[in-house]
Amino acid sequence: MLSRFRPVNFRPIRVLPVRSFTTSFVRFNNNVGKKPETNETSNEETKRRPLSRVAIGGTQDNKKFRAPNSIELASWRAVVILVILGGFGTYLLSNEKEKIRLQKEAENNRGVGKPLVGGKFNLIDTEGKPFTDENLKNDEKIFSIIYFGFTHCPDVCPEELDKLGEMLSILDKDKIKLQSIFITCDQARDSPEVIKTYLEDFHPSIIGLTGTYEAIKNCCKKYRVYFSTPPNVKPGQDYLVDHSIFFYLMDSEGNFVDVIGREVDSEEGAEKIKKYVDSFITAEESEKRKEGWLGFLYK
Amino acid sequence: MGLFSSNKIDTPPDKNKRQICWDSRDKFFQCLTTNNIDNSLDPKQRDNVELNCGELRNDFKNKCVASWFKYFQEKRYNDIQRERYIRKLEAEGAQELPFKLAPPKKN
Repeated sequence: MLSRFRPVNFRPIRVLPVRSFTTSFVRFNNNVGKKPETNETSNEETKRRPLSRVAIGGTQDNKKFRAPNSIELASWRAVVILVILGGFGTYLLSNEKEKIRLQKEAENNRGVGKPLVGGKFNLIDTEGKPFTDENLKNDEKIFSIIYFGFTHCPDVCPEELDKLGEMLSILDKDKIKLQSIFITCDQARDSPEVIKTYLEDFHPSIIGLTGTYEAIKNCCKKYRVYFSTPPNVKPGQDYLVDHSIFFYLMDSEGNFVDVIGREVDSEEGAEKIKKYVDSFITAEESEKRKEGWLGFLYK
Repeated sequence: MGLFSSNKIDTPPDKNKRQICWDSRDKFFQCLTTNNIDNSLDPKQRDNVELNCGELRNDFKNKCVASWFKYFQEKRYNDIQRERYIRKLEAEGAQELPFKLAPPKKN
């Protein structure tokens, strides 16, 4: 009895490594597509196989290809690290994606097909010094926000200028500088002195601009601002000026970025400006980036 | 310049004056609402306004510049009509647009 069992017990030890190798090889080939060369060798191997691999009195073992229990193998630490890193990576990527979106939008506002808002203007500030579109341009990436109004405005302008003051305070906390400009649509009554006193109520940094009727009209036209002074106004007569009410956000190259309307409150407005300022890149930087090795990302 | 700055009308109301004007306006409008007067500039309503809110009306007139006095009353009537129209549309089953009038967000 003993002598008959010994070789049987012995055989699997010698044969198993070979078998498991060949079967996995066959499986691999089934997956990839059979190659004649490997087939021959596997045929050779099978020839050497015993007719029956089931030990006498043993049972067929079906669990030879049991799928590895992956969660058991990966330690919980690895899982935690993966989740944290993955989450962080996703956050960074989505942030970057939003930035690229805004930059692309800004890019579309350059060159061909750019919106026809803004342009050259020639006005004077409340100190009587000239202020032109060149004053919007700077190298410190300081954006400008422009509002058209008039000092006798009953309710909308004061509200909007209050909002501007709040936005400036919010942005100030976030260390974002913004050049804010108020342009009058009513130059007949709004002298530099009047504008100066008027703006002190809202925020000390607001620059008030006025000019000749022609200069104001030309500027309003460039910014697509509609305004109408009632005809035949006599000096000293009280009247209202009808005008469009938008804030115009301009980048540090003097290009139009976006408008902020009445439906947006100061927090939303500040958030909007912040996003544009954060994602702003100059035309030069944008060119450089496109030529760089990561250029495909920005095209 | 001297002509303009010496003229009372040509210096715009400052923050303080604006607030005084708005407060008197709100009181007057409150009175109009309690008396169910929609258009205070309507000649047919003149007697009604004078009888019920005359004093507040005078106060409002004194504390605001003439153009504002007129503008606020016109605006109130416009707003009332607009509100009414929106309510009428809503009653007819109209739905508010699910977005603000701003450019769509691209992703």
